[in-house]
Amino acid sequence: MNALEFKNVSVVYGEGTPFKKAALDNISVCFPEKQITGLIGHTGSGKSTLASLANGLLKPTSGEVLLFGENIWAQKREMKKIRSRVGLVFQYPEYQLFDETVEADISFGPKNIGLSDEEIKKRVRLAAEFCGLSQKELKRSPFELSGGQKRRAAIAGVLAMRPEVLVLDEPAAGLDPKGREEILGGLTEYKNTYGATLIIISHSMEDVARYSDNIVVMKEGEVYMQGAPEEIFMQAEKLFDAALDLPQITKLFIELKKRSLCQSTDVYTVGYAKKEIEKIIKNA
Amino acid sequence: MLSGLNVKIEKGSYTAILGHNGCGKSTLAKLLCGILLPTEGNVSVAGMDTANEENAFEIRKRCGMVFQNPDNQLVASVVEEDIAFAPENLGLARDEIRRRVDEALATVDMSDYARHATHKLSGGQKQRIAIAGVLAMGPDCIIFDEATAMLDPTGRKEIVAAMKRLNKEMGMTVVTITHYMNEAVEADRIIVMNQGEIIADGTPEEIFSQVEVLHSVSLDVPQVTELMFLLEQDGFPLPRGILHAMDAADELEKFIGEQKNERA
Repeated sequence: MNALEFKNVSVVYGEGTPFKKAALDNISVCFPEKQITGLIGHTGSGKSTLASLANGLLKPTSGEVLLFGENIWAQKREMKKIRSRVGLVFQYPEYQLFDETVEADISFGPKNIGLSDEEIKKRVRLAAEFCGLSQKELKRSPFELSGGQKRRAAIAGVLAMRPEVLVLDEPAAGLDPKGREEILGGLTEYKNTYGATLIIISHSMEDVARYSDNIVVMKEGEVYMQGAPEEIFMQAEKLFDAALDLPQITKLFIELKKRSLCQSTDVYTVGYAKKEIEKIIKNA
Repeated sequence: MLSGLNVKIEKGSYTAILGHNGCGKSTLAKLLCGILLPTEGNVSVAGMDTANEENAFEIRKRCGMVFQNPDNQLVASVVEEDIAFAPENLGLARDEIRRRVDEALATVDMSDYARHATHKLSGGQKQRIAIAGVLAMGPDCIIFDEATAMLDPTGRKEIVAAMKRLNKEMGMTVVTITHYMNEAVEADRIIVMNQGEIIADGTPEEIFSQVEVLHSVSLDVPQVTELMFLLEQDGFPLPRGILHAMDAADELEKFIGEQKNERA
């Protein structure tokens, strides 16, 4: 089943003015349940517009957004419910931290949906665990934390809402490699524990290759490609056309294929690459 | 943040500074151009002590900085006015300002955008305007503090290309702070920091030969470097410090060829 489905969706900004621009142009795309979909595309390709449509922050100019098969705009009064089912993490979410302690900040969402104190406590503890925050950090002011910790605190605030679908706009941008791994690893764990569906927007081809089950490539407001990572990264020229890059390891295998040293180029992680090279050496 | 640090950046060099979040990279960058003053010890730019207030004006003129967020650095609504801001403040003549603005725009390949609105540019274009704004000051040195962190791959390539041009063609001293290993590889020298100290300093090949050291301070290496390192660990006699896909392909081709010959 598809957790989220976009049917012929268009979003036009500045309709009726000379600055009219279609941010999304009649796109249809599915996000299968319990999977991680990596959403990539150049700046201005419509990724963030798509993210804002997912939980009804933005209404499509035409077309339908379906959450588990139901149009989210069918009953406008239900929007609050939709927003607690679909979580949205903006770019640089640490700028949205505001409360006195990390714990209070993470509790803000669950409190607002009227959960019991006990349940809130439980959720805060679990959310903090997924994000790798310790008990000590929960008691501190979010403004005393390092950049990476702040980011994790902000994401924990959304996880505490226990969303079924979670859309994250560049959750790992600006973090060092270890910080990236902790956040993306924690999110994968959350997905596995609750059977959630994740949509991760990223500019890092390496991260997308490593963590996604599917990839959607956007280009100039349209869905340009979609498929499993190996299918996407096999089409190097098409990706370059969309102003995107390939993981470095895939570039190596394309070069090796050119030199007739290997057949496949659907290699995009270091672990798999190592196995492939060892096979090639053995068969030499 | 920093303790007992000693470092020299040569004139006309291209240096990348690596380190995980909170290791003191940005503090170092701010010290280099006198935005911050050291608690102990001293920093001198072209022989001038940054702690001496009389030098501040001259140091800032010689040493420019480009920051992470493209939206925080532009001051005017039209591209050429933004770039003219600094030379206007230096009290230069109109003709000279015009000349500097045009030259700076040409250097970052944005001449066609002189009359465009700054807020409508892409992230990569905004960063290039920020660079041009620094260039118009006529500096000897530009420090990039994670200037590509918020850009898409194309924007990142544009900025790295601009850095290389500034250094190789114009002889400018370039210092870049980054998390992207693929960018650090482009520099002539890499300084690795951890907990306020320099733990490695050398050419990209030297630095990326020390995969264990980098991993120990939670830094990554480029994917092909990692691959060659892992293969070497498994007993294949492959060289360390390979940074580019092309070089890795060359080495692997050579090695596989040798294996074939041996077995034949």
